[in-house]
Amino acid sequence: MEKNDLRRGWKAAALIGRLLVGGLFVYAASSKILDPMKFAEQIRAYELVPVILTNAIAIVLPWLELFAGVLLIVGFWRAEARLVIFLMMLGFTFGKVSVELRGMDIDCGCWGSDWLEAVFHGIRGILLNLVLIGLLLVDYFGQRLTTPPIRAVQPAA
Amino acid sequence: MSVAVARLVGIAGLSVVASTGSALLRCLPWVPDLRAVERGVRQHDELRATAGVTLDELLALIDEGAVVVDARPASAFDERHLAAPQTFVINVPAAEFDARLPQLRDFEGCRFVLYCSSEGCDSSAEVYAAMVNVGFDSADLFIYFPGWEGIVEAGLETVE
Repeated sequence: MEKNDLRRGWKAAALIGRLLVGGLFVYAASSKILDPMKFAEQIRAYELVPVILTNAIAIVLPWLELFAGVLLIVGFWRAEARLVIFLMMLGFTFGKVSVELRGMDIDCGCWGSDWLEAVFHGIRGILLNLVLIGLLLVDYFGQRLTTPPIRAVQPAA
Repeated sequence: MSVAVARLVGIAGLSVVASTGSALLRCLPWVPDLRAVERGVRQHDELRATAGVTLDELLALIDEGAVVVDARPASAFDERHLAAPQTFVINVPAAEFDARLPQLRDFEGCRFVLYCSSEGCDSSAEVYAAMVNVGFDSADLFIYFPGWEGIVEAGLETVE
Protein backbone atom coordinates (compact mmCIF):
# COMPACT_ATOMS: atom_id res chain seq x y z
CA MET A 1 0.00 0.00 0.00
CA GLU A 2 2.80 2.38 1.00
CA LYS A 3 4.66 1.54 -2.17
CA ASN A 4 1.56 2.42 -4.17
CA ASP A 5 1.30 5.78 -2.39
CA LEU A 6 4.95 6.47 -3.17
CA ARG A 7 4.39 5.61 -6.83
CA ARG A 8 1.33 7.86 -6.97
CA GLY A 9 3.38 10.68 -5.37
CA TRP A 10 6.16 10.35 -7.94
CA LYS A 11 3.61 10.18 -10.75
CA ALA A 12 1.92 13.40 -9.57
CA ALA A 13 5.25 15.19 -9.05
CA ALA A 14 6.42 14.13 -12.51
CA LEU A 15 3.15 15.33 -14.06
CA ILE A 16 3.42 18.74 -12.38
CA GLY A 17 7.09 19.01 -13.35
CA ARG A 18 6.55 18.23 -16.99
CA LEU A 19 3.47 20.46 -17.27
CA LEU A 20 5.42 23.39 -15.80
CA VAL A 21 8.55 22.92 -17.92
CA GLY A 22 6.63 22.05 -21.09
CA GLY A 23 4.23 24.97 -20.56
CA LEU A 24 7.08 27.43 -20.07
CA PHE A 25 8.82 26.16 -23.20
CA VAL A 26 5.67 26.46 -25.32
CA TYR A 27 5.05 29.99 -23.99
CA ALA A 28 8.67 31.06 -24.56
CA ALA A 29 8.78 29.51 -28.03
CA SER A 30 5.60 31.17 -29.27
CA SER A 31 6.84 34.74 -28.79
CA LYS A 32 10.21 33.89 -30.37
CA ILE A 33 8.50 32.28 -33.37
CA LEU A 34 6.52 35.50 -33.85
CA ASP A 35 9.66 37.67 -33.86
CA PRO A 36 12.73 35.55 -34.71
CA MET A 37 14.83 38.52 -35.85
CA LYS A 38 14.57 40.13 -32.42
CA PHE A 39 15.63 36.78 -30.95
CA ALA A 40 18.59 36.73 -33.40
CA GLU A 41 19.73 40.11 -32.07
CA GLN A 42 19.49 38.80 -28.52
CA ILE A 43 21.59 35.75 -29.46
CA ARG A 44 24.23 38.05 -31.03
CA ALA A 45 24.41 40.01 -27.75
CA TYR A 46 25.73 36.87 -25.99
CA GLU A 47 28.79 36.89 -28.30
CA LEU A 48 28.99 33.09 -28.01
CA VAL A 49 28.19 31.90 -31.53
CA PRO A 50 29.44 33.18 -34.91
CA VAL A 51 27.25 36.08 -36.11
CA ILE A 52 26.62 34.29 -39.41
CA LEU A 53 24.76 31.46 -37.60
CA THR A 54 22.56 33.63 -35.37
CA ASN A 55 19.59 34.02 -37.73
CA ALA A 56 19.45 30.28 -38.47
CA ILE A 57 19.55 29.47 -34.75
CA ALA A 58 16.84 32.07 -34.06
CA ILE A 59 14.61 30.57 -36.76
CA VAL A 60 15.01 26.86 -35.84
CA LEU A 61 15.50 26.84 -32.05
CA PRO A 62 12.02 28.20 -31.07
CA TRP A 63 10.34 25.46 -33.14
CA LEU A 64 12.46 22.85 -31.38
CA GLU A 65 11.36 24.37 -28.06
CA LEU A 66 7.74 24.32 -29.19
CA PHE A 67 7.67 20.68 -30.35
CA ALA A 68 9.66 19.41 -27.38
CA GLY A 69 7.43 21.41 -25.01
CA VAL A 70 4.19 20.10 -26.55
CA LEU A 71 5.46 16.49 -26.57
CA LEU A 72 6.51 16.76 -22.92
CA ILE A 73 3.08 18.12 -21.94
CA VAL A 74 1.11 15.43 -23.74
CA GLY A 75 3.57 12.72 -22.66
CA PHE A 76 4.18 11.42 -26.18
CA TRP A 77 7.84 10.54 -26.88
CA ARG A 78 8.22 11.84 -23.34
CA ALA A 79 11.77 10.65 -22.61
CA GLU A 80 13.10 12.03 -25.89
CA ALA A 81 11.31 15.37 -25.51
CA ARG A 82 12.69 15.62 -21.97
CA LEU A 83 16.22 14.91 -23.23
CA VAL A 84 15.93 17.61 -25.91
CA ILE A 85 14.71 20.15 -23.34
CA PHE A 86 17.39 19.06 -20.87
CA LEU A 87 20.14 19.64 -23.46
CA MET A 88 18.67 23.03 -24.36
CA MET A 89 18.50 23.97 -20.67
CA LEU A 90 22.19 23.07 -20.27
CA GLY A 91 23.06 25.29 -23.25
CA PHE A 92 20.92 28.20 -21.99
CA THR A 93 22.38 27.93 -18.49
CA PHE A 94 25.92 27.91 -19.89
CA GLY A 95 25.09 31.07 -21.85
CA LYS A 96 23.65 32.81 -18.81
CA VAL A 97 26.57 31.86 -16.55
CA SER A 98 29.07 33.08 -19.15
CA VAL A 99 27.19 36.40 -19.40
CA GLU A 100 27.30 36.82 -15.61
CA LEU A 101 31.02 35.93 -15.48
CA ARG A 102 31.76 38.51 -18.21
CA GLY A 103 29.78 41.17 -16.31
CA MET A 104 27.44 41.75 -19.23
CA ASP A 105 23.95 43.16 -18.84
CA ILE A 106 21.91 41.91 -21.77
CA ASP A 107 18.35 40.80 -22.40
CA CYS A 108 18.13 37.09 -21.73
CA GLY A 109 16.03 36.52 -24.86
CA CYS A 110 14.44 33.62 -23.01
CA TRP A 111 10.80 34.45 -22.42
CA GLY A 112 9.74 37.06 -24.94
CA SER A 113 7.87 38.92 -22.21
CA ASP A 114 9.43 42.09 -20.74
CA TRP A 115 7.91 41.30 -17.36
CA LEU A 116 9.33 37.77 -17.17
CA GLU A 117 12.69 38.99 -18.56
CA ALA A 118 12.87 41.54 -15.74
CA VAL A 119 11.80 39.07 -13.02
CA PHE A 120 14.33 36.45 -14.13
CA HIS A 121 17.17 38.83 -14.95
CA GLY A 122 20.76 37.81 -14.24
CA ILE A 123 21.40 35.39 -11.41
CA ARG A 124 17.65 34.81 -10.86
CA GLY A 125 17.47 33.45 -14.41
CA ILE A 126 20.25 30.96 -13.63
CA LEU A 127 18.40 29.86 -10.49
CA LEU A 128 15.19 29.41 -12.50
CA ASN A 129 17.08 27.24 -15.00
CA LEU A 130 18.39 25.08 -12.18
CA VAL A 131 14.84 24.68 -10.84
CA LEU A 132 13.62 23.67 -14.32
CA ILE A 133 16.46 21.16 -14.66
CA GLY A 134 15.43 19.82 -11.23
CA LEU A 135 11.83 19.43 -12.46
CA LEU A 136 13.10 17.50 -15.50
CA LEU A 137 14.97 15.16 -13.16
CA VAL A 138 11.78 14.71 -11.11
CA ASP A 139 9.98 13.71 -14.32
CA TYR A 140 12.83 11.35 -15.25
CA PHE A 141 12.74 9.52 -11.91
CA GLY A 142 8.94 9.72 -11.83
CA GLN A 143 8.77 7.92 -15.16
CA ARG A 144 11.38 5.34 -14.18
CA LEU A 145 9.80 4.52 -10.84
CA THR A 146 6.23 4.32 -12.11
CA THR A 147 6.80 2.43 -15.35
CA PRO A 148 6.52 -1.33 -14.77
CA PRO A 149 9.62 -3.22 -15.91
CA ILE A 150 9.28 -5.18 -19.13
CA ARG A 151 9.38 -8.87 -18.29
CA ALA A 152 10.73 -11.41 -20.71
CA VAL A 153 7.96 -13.71 -21.86
CA GLN A 154 8.71 -17.36 -21.24
CA PRO A 155 8.23 -19.41 -24.37
CA ALA A 156 5.48 -21.95 -24.02
CA ALA A 157 6.79 -25.40 -23.24
CA MET B 1 18.05 2.64 -28.19
CA SER B 2 17.60 2.95 -31.94
CA VAL B 3 13.92 3.85 -31.37
CA ALA B 4 15.00 6.69 -29.07
CA VAL B 5 17.52 7.98 -31.64
CA ALA B 6 14.87 7.82 -34.36
CA ARG B 7 12.48 9.82 -32.17
CA LEU B 8 15.16 12.44 -31.42
CA VAL B 9 15.84 12.75 -35.14
CA GLY B 10 12.07 13.01 -35.64
CA ILE B 11 11.75 15.94 -33.20
CA ALA B 12 14.73 17.71 -34.78
CA GLY B 13 13.47 17.01 -38.30
CA LEU B 14 9.99 18.27 -37.48
CA SER B 15 11.49 21.49 -36.09
CA VAL B 16 13.67 22.03 -39.16
CA VAL B 17 10.74 21.44 -41.54
CA ALA B 18 8.39 23.75 -39.60
CA SER B 19 11.00 26.50 -39.20
CA THR B 20 12.01 26.28 -42.87
CA GLY B 21 8.35 26.57 -43.90
CA SER B 22 7.83 29.52 -41.57
CA ALA B 23 11.01 31.25 -42.82
CA LEU B 24 9.99 30.74 -46.45
CA LEU B 25 6.47 32.05 -45.88
CA ARG B 26 7.72 35.14 -44.06
CA CYS B 27 10.85 35.64 -46.24
CA LEU B 28 13.12 35.53 -43.17
CA PRO B 29 16.85 35.82 -43.94
CA TRP B 30 18.83 32.75 -42.81
CA VAL B 31 22.05 34.77 -42.72
CA PRO B 32 22.18 38.19 -41.04
CA ASP B 33 23.27 41.28 -42.95
CA LEU B 34 26.86 41.30 -41.70
CA ARG B 35 27.39 44.89 -42.84
CA ALA B 36 24.42 46.06 -40.76
CA VAL B 37 25.75 44.16 -37.75
CA GLU B 38 29.19 45.75 -38.23
CA ARG B 39 27.54 49.14 -38.64
CA GLY B 40 25.82 48.60 -35.28
CA VAL B 41 29.15 47.83 -33.62
CA ARG B 42 30.72 50.90 -35.24
CA GLN B 43 27.83 53.09 -34.08
CA HIS B 44 28.40 51.80 -30.54
CA ASP B 45 32.09 52.76 -30.76
CA GLU B 46 31.17 56.18 -32.11
CA LEU B 47 28.68 56.67 -29.27
CA ARG B 48 31.40 55.77 -26.81
CA ALA B 49 33.64 58.44 -28.35
CA THR B 50 31.00 61.20 -28.51
CA ALA B 51 28.81 60.61 -25.43
CA GLY B 52 31.04 58.58 -23.10
CA VAL B 53 32.22 60.30 -19.92
CA THR B 54 34.96 59.46 -17.41
CA LEU B 55 34.40 59.19 -13.68
CA ASP B 56 35.58 62.79 -13.13
CA GLU B 57 33.25 64.01 -15.88
CA LEU B 58 30.38 62.04 -14.34
CA LEU B 59 30.97 63.70 -10.97
CA ALA B 60 31.22 67.14 -12.60
CA LEU B 61 27.95 66.58 -14.48
CA ILE B 62 26.21 65.53 -11.26
CA ASP B 63 27.56 68.63 -9.48
CA GLU B 64 26.17 70.75 -12.32
CA GLY B 65 22.74 69.16 -11.74
CA ALA B 66 22.56 66.72 -14.65
CA VAL B 67 19.77 64.19 -14.14
CA VAL B 68 21.13 60.68 -13.56
CA VAL B 69 19.30 57.96 -15.50
CA ASP B 70 19.80 54.40 -14.25
CA ALA B 71 18.91 52.18 -17.23
CA ARG B 72 19.12 48.88 -15.32
CA PRO B 73 15.99 46.80 -14.63
CA ALA B 74 13.75 48.16 -11.86
CA SER B 75 14.66 45.26 -9.56
CA ALA B 76 18.37 46.17 -9.73
CA PHE B 77 17.59 49.88 -9.22
CA ASP B 78 15.38 49.13 -6.20
CA GLU B 79 18.11 46.99 -4.70
CA ARG B 80 20.67 49.81 -4.85
CA HIS B 81 21.51 52.79 -7.05
CA LEU B 82 23.76 55.83 -7.20
CA ALA B 83 23.11 58.47 -4.54
CA ALA B 84 23.26 62.04 -5.84
CA PRO B 85 21.57 64.40 -3.33
CA GLN B 86 22.39 67.45 -5.47
CA THR B 87 20.29 66.17 -8.40
CA PHE B 88 17.67 63.59 -9.41
CA VAL B 89 18.35 59.90 -9.98
CA ILE B 90 15.61 58.18 -11.98
CA ASN B 91 15.15 54.63 -13.22
CA VAL B 92 14.40 54.19 -16.93
CA PRO B 93 14.90 50.53 -17.92
CA ALA B 94 15.32 50.24 -21.69
CA ALA B 95 12.42 47.77 -21.90
CA GLU B 96 10.08 50.23 -20.14
CA PHE B 97 11.13 53.38 -22.01
CA ASP B 98 7.66 54.30 -23.29
CA ALA B 99 6.10 54.00 -19.84
CA ARG B 100 8.87 56.11 -18.24
CA LEU B 101 8.96 58.79 -20.95
CA PRO B 102 6.62 61.22 -19.09
CA GLN B 103 9.06 61.15 -16.18
CA LEU B 104 11.92 62.07 -18.55
CA ARG B 105 9.80 64.81 -20.15
CA ASP B 106 9.60 66.52 -16.72
CA PHE B 107 13.33 67.23 -17.08
CA GLU B 108 13.32 68.30 -20.73
CA GLY B 109 16.07 70.85 -21.38
CA CYS B 110 18.29 69.40 -18.64
CA ARG B 111 21.47 67.42 -19.21
CA PHE B 112 21.27 63.67 -18.57
CA VAL B 113 23.93 61.17 -17.68
CA LEU B 114 23.01 57.51 -18.20
CA TYR B 115 24.46 54.29 -16.88
CA CYS B 116 23.61 50.58 -16.86
CA SER B 117 25.28 47.56 -15.24
CA SER B 118 28.79 47.42 -16.67
CA GLU B 119 31.00 47.95 -19.71
CA GLY B 120 29.25 45.08 -21.48
CA CYS B 121 25.68 46.36 -21.06
CA ASP B 122 23.56 47.92 -23.81
CA SER B 123 20.63 49.40 -21.88
CA SER B 124 22.12 52.89 -21.48
CA ALA B 125 22.89 53.07 -25.23
CA GLU B 126 19.34 51.87 -25.97
CA VAL B 127 17.80 54.52 -23.70
CA TYR B 128 20.14 57.12 -25.28
CA ALA B 129 18.94 56.18 -28.78
CA ALA B 130 15.29 56.17 -27.66
CA MET B 131 15.68 59.62 -26.08
CA VAL B 132 17.25 61.04 -29.25
CA ASN B 133 14.40 59.46 -31.26
CA VAL B 134 11.76 61.28 -29.24
CA GLY B 135 13.49 64.65 -29.56
CA PHE B 136 15.99 65.00 -26.71
CA ASP B 137 19.15 66.84 -27.84
CA SER B 138 22.05 64.39 -28.13
CA ALA B 139 24.40 67.18 -27.01
CA ASP B 140 22.72 67.00 -23.58
CA LEU B 141 23.04 63.22 -23.23
CA PHE B 142 26.05 61.45 -21.73
CA ILE B 143 26.79 57.86 -20.84
CA TYR B 144 29.01 56.56 -18.09
CA PHE B 145 30.03 53.30 -19.78
CA PRO B 146 31.67 51.55 -16.79
CA GLY B 147 28.12 51.61 -15.36
CA TRP B 148 27.05 50.38 -11.96
CA GLU B 149 30.17 48.21 -11.69
CA GLY B 150 32.35 51.30 -12.21
CA ILE B 151 30.29 53.27 -9.68
CA VAL B 152 30.74 50.58 -7.02
CA GLU B 153 34.45 50.14 -7.82
CA ALA B 154 35.01 53.90 -7.56
CA GLY B 155 33.38 53.82 -4.10
CA LEU B 156 30.69 56.38 -4.94
CA GLU B 157 27.84 56.73 -2.50
CA THR B 158 24.87 54.44 -3.20
CA VAL B 159 21.42 54.09 -1.64
CA GLU B 160 18.62 51.51 -1.53
